[in-house]
Amino acid sequence: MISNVFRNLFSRPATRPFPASAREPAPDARGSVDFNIESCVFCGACALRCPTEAIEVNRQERTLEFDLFRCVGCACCAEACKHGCVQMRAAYSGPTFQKPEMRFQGVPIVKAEDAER
Amino acid sequence: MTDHAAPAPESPALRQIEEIVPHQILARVADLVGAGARFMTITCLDQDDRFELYYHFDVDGSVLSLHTFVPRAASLPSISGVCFCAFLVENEVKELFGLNITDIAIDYQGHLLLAEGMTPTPMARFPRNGSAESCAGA
Amino acid sequence: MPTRTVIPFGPQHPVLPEPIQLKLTLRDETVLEAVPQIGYVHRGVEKAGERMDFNQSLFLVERICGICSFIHALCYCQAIEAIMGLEPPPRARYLRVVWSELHRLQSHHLWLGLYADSFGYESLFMQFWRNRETLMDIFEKTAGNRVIISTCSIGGVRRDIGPELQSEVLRALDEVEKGLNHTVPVMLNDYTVKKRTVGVGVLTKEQALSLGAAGPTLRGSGVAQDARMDGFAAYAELGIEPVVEEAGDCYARAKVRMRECYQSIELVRKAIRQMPEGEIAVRPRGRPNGRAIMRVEQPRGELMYFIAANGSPKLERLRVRTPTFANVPPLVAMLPGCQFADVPVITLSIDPCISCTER
Repeated sequence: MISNVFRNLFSRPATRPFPASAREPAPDARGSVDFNIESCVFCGACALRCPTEAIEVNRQERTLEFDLFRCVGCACCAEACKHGCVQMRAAYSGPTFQKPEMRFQGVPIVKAEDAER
Repeated sequence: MTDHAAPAPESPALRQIEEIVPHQILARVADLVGAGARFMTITCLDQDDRFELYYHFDVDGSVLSLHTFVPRAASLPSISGVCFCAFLVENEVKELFGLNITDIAIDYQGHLLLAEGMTPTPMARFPRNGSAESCAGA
Repeated sequence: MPTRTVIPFGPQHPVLPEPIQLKLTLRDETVLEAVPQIGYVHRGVEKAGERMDFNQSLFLVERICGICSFIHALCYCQAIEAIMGLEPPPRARYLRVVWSELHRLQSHHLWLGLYADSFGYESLFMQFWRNRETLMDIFEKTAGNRVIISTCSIGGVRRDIGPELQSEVLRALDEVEKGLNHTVPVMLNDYTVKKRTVGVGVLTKEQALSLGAAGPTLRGSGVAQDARMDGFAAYAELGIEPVVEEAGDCYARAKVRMRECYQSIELVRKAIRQMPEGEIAVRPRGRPNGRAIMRVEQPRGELMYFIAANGSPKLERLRVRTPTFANVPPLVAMLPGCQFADVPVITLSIDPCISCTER
């Protein structure tokens, strides 16, 4: 143990001076979920695959509601989405005081007969 | 009675299954423990009018399970007399399923895992019915 | 006249990392009897497993325990694959071995740190946990997350470890091995450590078998049983020799775990060297219908799953038997006769994981 003590005395500290220096997450880390609502077709595949039912998709109203606190970061939604609208971001969503409003409204579809009127 | 499709007993997915009647369990467990088998656990399934039980043992590195059915309102004698380590899982089965196991070595009176005020027998699917009958002397 | 006192040790106690309560009956400083009480973290996982789709239950069982999470997922996937008749591709089986052994390494490091802390050796605790950080970084790079890695799926694995990542894993293992070479001799040869652990909490071979012990608790008492000898994943090709010690005391159990660390490093190196090319998953079709019993070796011992499925998307029964559940009766048998100050050392030597026990 004496050799360990000397090694620790004369080497760099094992800890990082956070918040002065932040930690870079690994490139493919599953930190948090990003929704790109413009390209979403509201098929509901992500909501079906989510193990914690954190995503709720309403096809008629074209809305997507995401409960951030239920998300476990498993990336099943990102794998299920065929249109690339759900991506995983490597950085974790930071601490917050209030529950963030995560309700996305897509562009409503105008039906052909309504557009003619 | 629910109909379930189980693979044949010789399927490798289930390892070795031995069918047994409830009143022979104590004697068979005493034999296995005497021969140096290691007790693994007890699995209980709730089929509507009866409980299905598996007693799993490790005999020389391979898994042997004793398979039996017990009527819902019956009482079953504990194996913790011959196999002390079974007391923990028997308490759990008694508490979560409502199967009446008698003479457990250390009996937690229904409070091993569940606290006061919690719904009793949460794992049981169907409500209790029928009269008490003991399988010890059947 | 010697007095008897009953002391509730736990569930909240500075030295105990797990919420188990032991009601100790003491005569002066000697323990006469111990009655365990659990139930502080019961979450009803087995019931929840019956209410979710079988694909979603995978993420549930992963979260039964944070330290051995991949191995829970592995056992679940293997059981469902046995029911559905799926054969995961060879590369997936080797990748599963790599992640399982890395999990075993990080779990043993965690335990070694806590064990050192249990007899007051905090600086050694910090050394082991510093070493463990290298492994957590490797998990983040290869699997995307540090603790619950979510890489096992039904039919294979979700991510691949390509050649660059493989060399990073090997570099990290060299670092871990160097760290172990600095700290394991302290744990094995230090005079004070030996005074606290040799001859303490003895479990004889007959007791270990008759009380249903599992894992290093069993192997530390001279019984050569390891669930990896069943040959699941790629262990049949890699070959496994159970690590056995004869003495049956805390020192023997600690030595088993330290030797298993070195064994895991060798297994990961071998798996990476022999890893075949190919796909990483087969796509499961349909729903499971049937029953299976599957067992794997967690860091703490033998984990057994019994899954019953009846063709619907929800499972009929998900039964989980974790190794600490099997190790609590041996703990109750080890405690009588020891000194009160030895109780945390003995409790920690079975490597308790109460969140696994209570599910």
